[in-house]
Amino acid sequence: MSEAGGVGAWKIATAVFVILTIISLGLYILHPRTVTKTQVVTSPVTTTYTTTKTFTTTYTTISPTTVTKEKTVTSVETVTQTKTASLADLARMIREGQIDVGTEYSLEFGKRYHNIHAIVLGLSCNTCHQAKTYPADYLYIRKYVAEKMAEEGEIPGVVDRGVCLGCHRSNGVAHELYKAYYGPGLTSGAGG
Amino acid sequence: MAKYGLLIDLSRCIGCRACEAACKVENFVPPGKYWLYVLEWEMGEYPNVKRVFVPMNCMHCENPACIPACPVNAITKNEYGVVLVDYNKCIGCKYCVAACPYGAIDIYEGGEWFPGSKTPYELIPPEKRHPLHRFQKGKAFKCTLCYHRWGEAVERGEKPGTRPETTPACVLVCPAGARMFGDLEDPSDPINSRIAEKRAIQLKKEFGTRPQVYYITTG
Repeated sequence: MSEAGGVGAWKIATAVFVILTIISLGLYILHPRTVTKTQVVTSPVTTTYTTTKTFTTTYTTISPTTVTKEKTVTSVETVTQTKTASLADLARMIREGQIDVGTEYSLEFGKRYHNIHAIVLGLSCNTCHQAKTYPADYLYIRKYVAEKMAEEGEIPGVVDRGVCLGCHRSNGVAHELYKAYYGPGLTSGAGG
Repeated sequence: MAKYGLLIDLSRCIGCRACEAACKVENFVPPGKYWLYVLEWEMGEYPNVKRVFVPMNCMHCENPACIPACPVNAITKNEYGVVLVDYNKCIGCKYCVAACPYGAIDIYEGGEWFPGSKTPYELIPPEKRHPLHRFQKGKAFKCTLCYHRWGEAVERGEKPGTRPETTPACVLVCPAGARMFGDLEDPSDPINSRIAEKRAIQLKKEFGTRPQVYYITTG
């Protein structure tokens, strides 16, 4: 009898252990566990993802200078990473159509050209429009064209194409328009 | 392959604007627009003052900024080095206008040349004009290096610039002989020896556009 009683106690203990394990596991699974990690990386640092998990990347929020990448992992864990977008990122996203800059190619304010430069890139007017008129010795044929007024009484000023050269040269951050190249071992004008 | 260009001697230019006028007449350029414009300003202070004249037109660059800027590939550079706009392809977005560091491209806006009736010049129908002169309203247009004058000649094997009929109008009318037209790829062409002798320069070399228009800045 005592042996049978010992076996019964052992069975009860085992059953209690199994029940407790099942309850713990259920609580662990059912508990909504969300881990949020936020990492801010300043441009132009490139963020490298080292995780080996399969995930899908969706661009959820787009502001003029910030792109929020939401990385959804297969587990309940969600990692949100925020970084300041580089110009290259923005240029790629514009070309891929992820940022809506309009489809009409035009210099008019509110259309593609100014949407890219003024809205997406966030360049203020006086970044490009530098003076009311060109200097006397500025070599530009269309000096005879009166500058278009942005608003009544307010003239945005002329644009020195040297501003464009900064980004639109060879190996620049933007679409290459000018073959000028300033790299190691070269000085200004060597690319010409 | 030939690569035609211009050499402009600023030490000879007297600012008469004959080239400007000839260009307008030759190419149906409407009032208020210029394919060739003579920039002018003063240098120095009294009594040591001088006026500077710089005639500028399309530089027909070897690496034109207008070509990659055009979203519809309406601008091309032909086998003789001339940069031309296809008016049928152009959508008038003005991206080329913004990209050109020399301001060489403008937009044809149509309209009346003078109030009232049309001038006999305007009445010449488009089909009787050279295709390069069949402008379309709202689309880009620019200097063609008078390709309509010498394009056929060069196709026949003739060397352009040797006869008045095959020479750009601006070169032909310059009373000071400040403009020279020639093949920049031909070592025997006088334009090349003059470029070398006078150490002629290209404008805005920092853009890497490699203009085919050279300037002599010293006498």
